[in-house]
Amino acid sequence: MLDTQLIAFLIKKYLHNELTTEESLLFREWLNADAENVKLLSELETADKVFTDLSIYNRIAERQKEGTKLTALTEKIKERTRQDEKQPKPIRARSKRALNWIKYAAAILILFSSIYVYIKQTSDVPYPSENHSTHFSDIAPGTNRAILKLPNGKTIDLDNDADGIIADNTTISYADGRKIEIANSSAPQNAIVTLEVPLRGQYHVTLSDGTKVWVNAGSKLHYPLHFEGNQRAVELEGEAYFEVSTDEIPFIVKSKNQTLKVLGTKFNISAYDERKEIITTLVEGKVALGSENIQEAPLVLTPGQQSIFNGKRFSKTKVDVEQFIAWKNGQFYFDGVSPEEAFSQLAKWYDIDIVYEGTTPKFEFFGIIDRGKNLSGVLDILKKSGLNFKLEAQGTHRKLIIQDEQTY
Amino acid sequence: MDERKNYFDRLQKGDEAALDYYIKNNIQTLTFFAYKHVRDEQLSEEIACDSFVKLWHNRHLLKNELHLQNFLFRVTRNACLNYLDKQKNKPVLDYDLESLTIADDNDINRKIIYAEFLKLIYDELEKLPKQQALIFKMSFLDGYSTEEICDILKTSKNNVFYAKSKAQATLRLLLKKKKFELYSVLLLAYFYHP
Repeated sequence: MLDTQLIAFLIKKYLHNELTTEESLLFREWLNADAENVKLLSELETADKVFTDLSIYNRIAERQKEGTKLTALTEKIKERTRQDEKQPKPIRARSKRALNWIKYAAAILILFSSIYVYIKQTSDVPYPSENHSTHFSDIAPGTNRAILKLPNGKTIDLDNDADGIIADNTTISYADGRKIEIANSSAPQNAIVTLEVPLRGQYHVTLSDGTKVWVNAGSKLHYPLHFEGNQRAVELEGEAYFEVSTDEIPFIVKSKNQTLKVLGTKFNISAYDERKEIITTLVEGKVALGSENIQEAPLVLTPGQQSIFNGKRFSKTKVDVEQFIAWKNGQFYFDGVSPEEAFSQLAKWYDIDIVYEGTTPKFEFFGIIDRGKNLSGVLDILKKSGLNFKLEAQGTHRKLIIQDEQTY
Repeated sequence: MDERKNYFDRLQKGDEAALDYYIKNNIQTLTFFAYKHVRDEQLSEEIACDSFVKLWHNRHLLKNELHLQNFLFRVTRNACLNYLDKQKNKPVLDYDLESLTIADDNDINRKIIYAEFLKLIYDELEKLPKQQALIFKMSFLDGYSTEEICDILKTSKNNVFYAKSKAQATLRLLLKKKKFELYSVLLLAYFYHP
């Protein structure tokens, strides 16, 4: 005879990846005993059946938990036992069977103790290290940092403490009024400068028309020192949030092959190179989107709408905009985002490579997390979703390894 | 384990409180187990109740807790099979303990393991705090947005997200090889009480 409760318990622990070594051996023992057991386990893992049955189980349980239902059932059972007591009809038992059972129990006991001895002997041997990677425990978050590339090729490391820079005709200054020295002041007013924000960085810039741009980690914004004529045009690589000042002259943002045109509004564009799609999210106002690749009439977004451009076609959905602009308010905002999405944000903000040990986990993250936290603080929160992480450094590369569940 | 042994001894001595204990801990799983055979909730419950009556009458013959568990499932299974046979106008088999103690019946063992497994998962869902359960229900069944849930429950977005994360961790084992849509389906099923 088999302790079904024990096996059920072991299966649950196995699926939760919580088996101790002893339990793991016992579990294997059961699994190997019969090919049908393996089948049962794979059924549980594929979950389809479990979903259906769990809902049935739930319905039954809820029914029996309602009010005094359980008490009523218990009373009914007892009532019947009393009635039947008058004419008892016990079932015959054969003692031979009992003997069989004791043999099983003894076998299990022996198995248990031998496993224990086996583990005792082997577990003290240290595992040899297989690679030269070192572990490290934490990474500080990104900060305000960027470099400014001038038309003459000069680069300026921008002040980390400053609250962004302001373009003002021929000069550039920090928000607190300090002037930034631009050696070659003979550069034409419409000369293009590049604000380059590295990984683990972000920066805020005010353009000559008063438009405010927050540039996210690993992004570049190309813009003129001064907007001239009847066009306000900038070019974005990566991600930025724009608050475009209202003007009759249209404001144009080019990102890869997407062109966005507005008069005055607030929106976020995410157009990182490694991603196929360009995601534009409108907070306020109205924008028109087009591309040199397509002939169709421009796609118009209204507040709360988001467009996804795959290079060939635009699609439009309604979204909770807050999660797409949270980064500029100093937050990671995960409302059911995929691990790939969440980790790509962490990769940029903490300058780490993401490595999946095994398959990419299939579930969603929920949480609002302060971007000022160290990496470990963020990971602690993500662990609530049931994932495990490991940090490793190899040379200058720092890797966040997302650990797979135990594979059997 | 001591507690379980204690209840087992008390049952054998004819203590009805011990019977209460076994009913409380097993009736859901047994009813489910019966339902899988007969596909009728009312009938499943009847059969499960009968199994406890049989347990009471045969308590002297049980060797231990393990034997007791198997006894409950096996008399339930036999009662279901009898019912199904009756439906087909077949002669009724009388259950007896001999057929119930055959050790090599691995198929029924797996069915029992499966039912016990569901019980464990269900118990885990039951452990979730009420507020968390409510948040799932609102977001996955009623389709409320995060903001709406915050308004109605007067709670912060972080609480809502935390609740969703906790549930996900709890249900994680079911998500191993499934996409998220199925997870939503589960929550729908879980909170739908007709």
